Amino acid sequence: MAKKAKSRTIMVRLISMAMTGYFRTLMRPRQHRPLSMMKYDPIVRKQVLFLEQKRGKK
Amino acid sequence: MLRSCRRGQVAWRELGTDHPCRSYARDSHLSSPNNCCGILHGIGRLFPTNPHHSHTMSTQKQVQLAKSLPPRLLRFFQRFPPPALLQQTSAPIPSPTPASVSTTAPSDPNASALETPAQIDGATEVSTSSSETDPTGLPYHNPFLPVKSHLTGRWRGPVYGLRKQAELVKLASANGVIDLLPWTIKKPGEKEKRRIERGLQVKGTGLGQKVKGKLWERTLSSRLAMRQKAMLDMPALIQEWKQKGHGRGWKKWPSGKAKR
Repeated sequence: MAKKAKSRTIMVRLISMAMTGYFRTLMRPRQHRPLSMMKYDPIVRKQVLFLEQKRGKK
Repeated sequence: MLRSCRRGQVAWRELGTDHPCRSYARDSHLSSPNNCCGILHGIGRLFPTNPHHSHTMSTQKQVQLAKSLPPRLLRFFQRFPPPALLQQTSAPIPSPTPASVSTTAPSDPNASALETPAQIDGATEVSTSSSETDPTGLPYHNPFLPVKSHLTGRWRGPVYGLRKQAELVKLASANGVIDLLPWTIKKPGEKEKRRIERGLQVKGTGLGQKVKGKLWERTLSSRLAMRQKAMLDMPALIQEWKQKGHGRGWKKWPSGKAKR
């Protein structure tokens, strides 16, 4: 039986580098490079760097 | 019996002609005539005075000072002499003999003079419980605390209730003899001390108390330290990220798992 086709986009989690545990969930194309951006962290109440979480191997 | 002492001011006004001790000694078969005098001298001695004064002068002055105490306080000190006075006084307070203990009279002769009828009714229990000396070496238990009778196993309430204790403490502090009173919760600073020792109703807030706490409480300090360190390193991290093309050449992607 044929395997189910993978979706074109994936949901990714961007983690605050302030180590507060705060994260944002975004959608990106599967083939795109990992996301990273400056965003507001409400726990430290500052704009901090958010980096995409490593995905598990499947 | 001790009616002159009970009258307080009137009795002490008559001190020149008929000392209340004399009438007390005349009436009371249990006490020595020196008892009340000893109390007066003793309390006077416990007052802070100039040591360079001659002995007779200072003694007279001390006696005058002791006489200036309110009669209620004096009655209390007659009934329950402070430990310092018991050691200092030359005329020792008569301690209960086994014979007197076996009778219905309470151990302290002064106490017998001032016992209320209700206390006299329960005199047998009083005698058994108060006949044993206090752990502090005094011939009486702390009158501000309840006492458990070893024979009956029942508790006898304090001689002075909390309201009377508070009144005595107020009187004593106004006259500067607060240290001569036995321990009571009503003494200034005692409640604060207890609050520090026991803490609030919340468990673990007292002195030396510790509770396990929730996981977030146990790890809070380390997490806060980690967060602080990360925020300190943040400008350098952002600078590096910008230099590497806003993540184009980035290799250190976070795993998202908590560091152990």
